[in-house]
Order: sequence, then C-alpha cells, then structure tokens
Amino acid sequence: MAQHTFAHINKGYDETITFLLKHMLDTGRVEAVFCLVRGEDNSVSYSLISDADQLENAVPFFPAMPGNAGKALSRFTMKGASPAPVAAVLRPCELRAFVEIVKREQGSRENMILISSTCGGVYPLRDVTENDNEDVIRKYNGNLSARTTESMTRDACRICEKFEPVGADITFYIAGKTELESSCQIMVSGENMKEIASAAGFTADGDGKKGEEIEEIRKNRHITREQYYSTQPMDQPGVEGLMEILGKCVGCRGCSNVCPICYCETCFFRTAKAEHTNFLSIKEIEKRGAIKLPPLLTLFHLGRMTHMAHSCVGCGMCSDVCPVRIPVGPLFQKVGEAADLLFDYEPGRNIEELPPLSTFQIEELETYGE
Amino acid sequence: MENKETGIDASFIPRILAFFCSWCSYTGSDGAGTARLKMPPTTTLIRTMCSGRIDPYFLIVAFFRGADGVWVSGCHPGDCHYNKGNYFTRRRYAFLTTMFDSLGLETKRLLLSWISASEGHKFQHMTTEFTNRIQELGPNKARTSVFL
Amino acid sequence: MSMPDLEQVAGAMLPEAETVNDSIRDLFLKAIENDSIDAILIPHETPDGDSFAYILARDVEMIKTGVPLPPIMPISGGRVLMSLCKNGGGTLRIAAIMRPCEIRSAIELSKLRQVDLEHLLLITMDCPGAIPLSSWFADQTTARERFDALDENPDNEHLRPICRICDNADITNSDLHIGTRGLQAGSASLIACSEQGEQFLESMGMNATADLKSWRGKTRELKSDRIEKRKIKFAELREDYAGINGLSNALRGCIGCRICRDVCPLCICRECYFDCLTIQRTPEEYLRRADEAGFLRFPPGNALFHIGRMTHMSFQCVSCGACEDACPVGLPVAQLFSMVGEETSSVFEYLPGMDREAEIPLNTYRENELEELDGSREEVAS
Repeated sequence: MAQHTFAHINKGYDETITFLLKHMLDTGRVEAVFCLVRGEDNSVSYSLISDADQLENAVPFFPAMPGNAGKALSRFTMKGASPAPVAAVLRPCELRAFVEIVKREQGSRENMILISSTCGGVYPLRDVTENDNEDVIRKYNGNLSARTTESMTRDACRICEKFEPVGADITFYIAGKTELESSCQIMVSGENMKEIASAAGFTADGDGKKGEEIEEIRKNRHITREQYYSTQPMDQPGVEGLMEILGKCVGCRGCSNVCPICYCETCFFRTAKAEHTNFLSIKEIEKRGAIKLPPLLTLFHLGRMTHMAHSCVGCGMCSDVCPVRIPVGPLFQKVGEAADLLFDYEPGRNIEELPPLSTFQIEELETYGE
Repeated sequence: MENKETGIDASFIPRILAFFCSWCSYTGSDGAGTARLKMPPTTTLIRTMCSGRIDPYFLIVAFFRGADGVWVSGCHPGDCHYNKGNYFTRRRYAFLTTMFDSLGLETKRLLLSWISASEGHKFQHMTTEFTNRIQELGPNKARTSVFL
Repeated sequence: MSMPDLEQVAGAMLPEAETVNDSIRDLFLKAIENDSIDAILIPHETPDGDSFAYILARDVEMIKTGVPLPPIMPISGGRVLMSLCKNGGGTLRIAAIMRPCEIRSAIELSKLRQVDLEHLLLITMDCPGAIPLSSWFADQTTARERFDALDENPDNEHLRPICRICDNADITNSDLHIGTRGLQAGSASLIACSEQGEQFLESMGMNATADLKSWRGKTRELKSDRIEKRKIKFAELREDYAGINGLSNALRGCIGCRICRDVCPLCICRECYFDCLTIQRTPEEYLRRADEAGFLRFPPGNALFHIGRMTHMSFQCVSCGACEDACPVGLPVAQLFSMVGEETSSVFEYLPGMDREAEIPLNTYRENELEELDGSREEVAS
C-alpha cells in the first residue's frame, strides 16, 4: 500500500506542474516528459519533451483531450519498457486506460512517473480547435472551481464520477478548489515520489488530507449521470431504442480507432468473417422490407462491447470523433458499468487485477445456468 | 393471429438457435432423440467442441439476425471435458445477459443450461419450457428491423 | 465502353408528380413492379430523424419515404456498394441512386475489385452539393433551409467547400442520369448514359425523345463555371499548403484518428500500412528522436500518414469530400487531397471515376512513356 503525503503549494497548479516537470528534467531525474503542448499555431497535442526549454510551450492541464494519452503511452512502450524514467501528465481516465492497457500487455508502466489531477472535465474536441484559445484557459479555471456540472460542455465529462485518479504517483487536487491561480494541493504516493517532491522544494503538509469538495463534486456528477441515463432513448433502449441510437452509424470504426482499450492490430470487425454477406438475400430484404447498408453495424457495436465494455474508462473519445454524433461513450459506459457491478471490477483501479472475462472462479455466478 | 385472451400469436412458431457442447450437451440431446422423447421442433442445434468455444458474439449475431431464442448449453461446472471451458462460458453468459439487460433487450430470450450426456430428459424438458417461454414473448422484433 | 457525351445523350421525361423526388420514387416502384429491378438502394431518414442512411428496399412504404439526394452525405455510396458486393457480389439486380461523386467512387472501386458493376444500375442526378455534417448537426432546421435554397443559388457559401469547386456536376459514367437543371420546376428527365441505361428505358416503355436543350445549356454553363473556380481554388491551396510549414498548417490539430481514411471510398485495405506494428518503434528510438529536436509530437507520424495515403490513392481521389466531412477537428483534407490528386492523376492523364475501362495508373504501365522523367537524357534542360 503506497504511503500518501500531502503538500500545499503557494503557486497556481499550472505554474507548479511546469516547475515540477522542469525540475525533474533539469536534475536528470527523468529523461523526458510527456504532456500536452501548445504549438505556435495554437493547436494542442501531446509531446515527448526531452529539452527543458521546450517546456515553455507545455500546457499539461489544458482542457482538451486530442486523444487518450493512455493510448499514446501504450504506443510509446509497446515494444518494451521505457529505458529511462519518463514523467507523464495524464487525466484520470487516461491513467485508468493506461492501467487497463498494461494489463493486456500492450505497454509497460515500468520507469513511468505518472502525474494526474482531479479532473474538471475537458472541452469537446471540436470546440478547442479554434485559432485563438486564450479564452479557453481563462474560462476554464472558473469552470474548474465549480463543483456543479452546469459549466461542463462535454457529456462524457459531465457524467463522470471517476474524476479522482487512482494509482498516480503524484496527484494534483484542483477540481472544486478556489484560488487556483495562487495555490494548489498535491498528493505524493510512495517513498520515491516523496524524495522527488522534497528535492523540488515541496514541503509535506502533516495534516494534509483530501478536501470535502471531492464528495460534493461526486454527488453532483452522480445526479447528472442519473439524469442523463433516464432520458430516452438511453433509458431501456430495447431493439427499437438501439436502432434510434445506432441506426445512423456509417461504419467508419472511428470509435474503436481512438479507443484506448481497442488495441488489436487487425480488429475482428474488419475481417471477412464479420461481413455477413449471406445476409443480403431477397428473402431477408422481403422479410424486413428493407435493410440499411452497410448492414449489421449493430453487431459491430454490441460485439465491441463484449470485447471491452467492462474495461471502458469513460474517456469519451469515441463520442468526440463520431462523424454522426452517436453517443458511443455513454452507451458503452452504461453496459460497462453493469458488467463491472456484476464482477465487482473497476477498470484501472488495480494493475494486478485481471479483466473479468480473462479469468474465473470455480464457485461463482451460481444463479446462471439451469 | 393473436389470441385475444392470451395475446399469443398462434401462428408464430418460435425459432430457437442453440449452441451445444459436443461432449455433454449435444450427446444428451442425441439421447433424447434415441429415446424418442417428444418435444416441439423449434430448436436448431449448432455443435461446438466445448461451450467455451462460444463467443458471446455468436449469440448477438443469432439474436439480431432474428432468432427468437438463443440457447447455450455445456457440461456441468466441474465436469468440463476440457477442465475449465465452461467456467468461461458461465462468465461470458453472465456478462451477455447483463449487457442485454442494461440495453433493454429481452434477457428472457437467452438461456444457459448444463446438460450432461445422460440428461436426455432434461433436454426434452428445457426445450419444451423454453419454447413456451418464447411463444409467450412473441417474435423477436430484431427479425424485422431495418436499421440494424 | 467510352464516356457518355453530354451533347449526345438522350432521355425521356419522367411522369410528373408533386415533386421531382416523388417522380423518382414512382419510377422505382414501377421498376420493381415491372420486375426490371430486384431492389432499390436509396437514402432514407434514420430512426432518430437526425441523419440519413442507405437502405436496400423492396417495400413500397420504405421506397416511398426514400430521399434520393439528402442534404448531407454521411457516407459515400461507393462504400455502401462495397458492403453489397464483397466476396464476389450477388445476383440481385439493384438500382442505386446516388450523387455523381459516389458513382465515380463506385467505378474506381470496381477497378479495385471491391464493387461488381454487373448487376448494378447506377443512377445519379443533378447534384446541388451537400451541406457540411458539422452545420447539419449544429442546427438541422437551418441546414435544411439552406439545402432547399440551393436551387436558386447553386454557388453558395453554405455548401461543403469541396462541392463548391466540383467540376463533375454534369454527367458521369453512370447508367442513368436524372436531369433537372434548366427544366421547368418539378420536371425531370431520365437520361441514358450507357447501354444498360438504354435497356432500362426500353424495359420501362420510355422513349428517349425528350428535349434536353435547356438542360444541356445550363449544365455546360455550370461546368465551365466550376472548372474555373476549381482552378483558382487549387492555385490558392497550392500556395497555402506549400512546403513543410504549409502542410503542417493544413494538418494542424490532426489527432491521428484515421477517420478520413476509414470513410474514404478508395481506402479499402483491411489492415492499413500506417496502423501496422512494423512502423511502430521502440521507446529507445522515440526518446532518441525526442532528443534530436528537443521534443517529439506523440504519437508521431501524422504527416507521414497523410502523405503516405496520398501516394496510395490521391490519383484515384474523386473529391467526394467524405474525409473532410468526417474529420472531428475540421481539417481541409478533401481540399488538400483533391488538389494533390489533380496533379498526380494528370501525370498519367487519368480521370478518376470516369472511363470504366481505364486502368488504375500505378497498376499498369506502357513501355514507352514518361520519357521526360528520364534524368539521363541529354534533351532534359539543366
């Protein structure tokens, strides 16, 4: 069990994280740093930074998610563990995704220093690609301090109750806090991190602990989540409801492309087996009157659910990229949540814990099977 | 033609697709045949070596392509011919019914059973029960969906 | 089979109905009744009312509620035809109505052996263009109004940028073309563009004697106007996207989702080269690359992906714009690829989606060609 220590810092969280990353690079404690960077053209993307000077473009907690960073880190460590320490700044869902990916042997956590924060959400992808995003940052701190979900514009974030990271080495507690420009609280886990933190000049706060804002935020997110799922067609879709939600799918597979858990180089749903060409017969067309083409995309979605919904971390990248605005994320979350309840599983909580469909117990699920 | 009292469509003949493991369940069903046990002819069997071969995807395909009922059967837990296949079957099935339930899809159209090679009567009994259950539920709406 | 000639093609007037779309639906219903056709492929509103999807239909009600050319194009008809014809195609005789660019993609796909044209009756119509998906999903009512108003103002800022420079809005190598331009409001002509098209007219008892003079005139006008606009636009783009900086600018914000490739009707590979493990590197390699410039954008290879994709399909690009429409960050991919595609295809004098018999330029060769590229020849100026 990692020992947690809190520290209170008299600098804004933005300044603090950049300072910490620079310190780690300068002192050689890490070979490189992985975080969001704002280019000259104002576009925001992830970068692996090895030169501390480049940190002046770093915007680690920028409210955008141009991809799930867990997936990017998996790419980084796919062919082997990082040979040297690298510090990465991730959102809680990205961290959970990385844990789920590492469980599937598609990456390695070794030598990674993972830094995260309590999350106030990000803006929809389409909203942060404007030329001038100065406004975005200014507005964001106000939204971050809020404990309600009113100011949140991205559905996946508004309904997210897992905004407190689990398993990070350093956690910034910023959501729901005030005076974000002049102070922040961090939690450091493990002796190794304590050493780094004190080398950076942070002093441990002996009485430190989590604030009550966490519970308040979680309560509000829960209410929003319930409300979301009680509206049609999300509430008990049935066959007809599913047609409403998924009927406009064009079959681009963008959702699975960006999904951090979907790692298969050759997705089953792109193979000939998944094409069901014998489905398109006169008999079937007469029976139904008409068949939407490309056919049977519902099978793709439901099939993908059986592959990864139990590990869905709710990052919402799928919804962000869907060209026809299908709420893929919330749909997969709904199924994932039910599955996780069944197996008492939580994606990302424990890197040693096997995904529920990869294991079994001899005595369990007695009510199943007649 | 719907029966006004029961609401059951008497002209509706349920079509059930069943995935049975070769060693126990399929042999058990064969036994029912040898013993000339009577049961409604609504079930089509697909034989796999082990119930652990059954990908939940098969059940989804069966359901959306119009099967009114989908049935998985294997050896009793602990008796799997391949030692542990059916433990995974149990997990996958539990997962699939949970998924169906959260999506508002009729979980009553799914069935998991453990039928051993000597349980021909159990096969007969379950075929009859499941058919009646599906008869009451009526045809699967997915049979006639256009935008699936 | 050569290309249909705008000046030579002949057609019949469709029996009038309340709207042109109604005439088209009536035609389809009659064709099924007649047993000239087994099923119709036509767009239809989706169950949630928010979008359109192609349906393969025989049912009268479904055909009656089909929408020949919807305001948006969420998927290219070429891709839809692919899903029909995988693994050898079928024997169903299908009449498909889609936009000219979708027809062209179908023709390119037949060369790639992904679509079997034999049992397909390809029908297109005068296309006013399409509204961007992003405008549609932001405000459907306004988008619909804008689409309906396109008849009065064919060159319209509300159209997708790629539509505004479409110089193929006239006649394509489809089997039939429904012409409405320049004709009386509500009337439409059914024009045969191929032998199959002619046979269809015959089987429906229609005589190809309609007076198409005004349609030809208007079409000629629109085409030359668009050719001009396309030239100007491409010259602009060439400047804007010139060099490494220009290209970076065009692709700024790309998140590497690959959706452009996945909706492109020409990108058919089940396993795309740019996704395979071969091109992924070890962490040592990534760190080394990060050291070189001080940083490495992650995951790397976005620009490489786009340029690579250009080398694979730009000369076949039919400018349908599905890529740009689907891009979650609104990159001008269609404009970029069309501009490059125009150059790469013209090296081989290849017009994508036109001549059904013309071979894909990189799949063939002639022994004596492209001599100007031979750097060892003395005639080549220094």
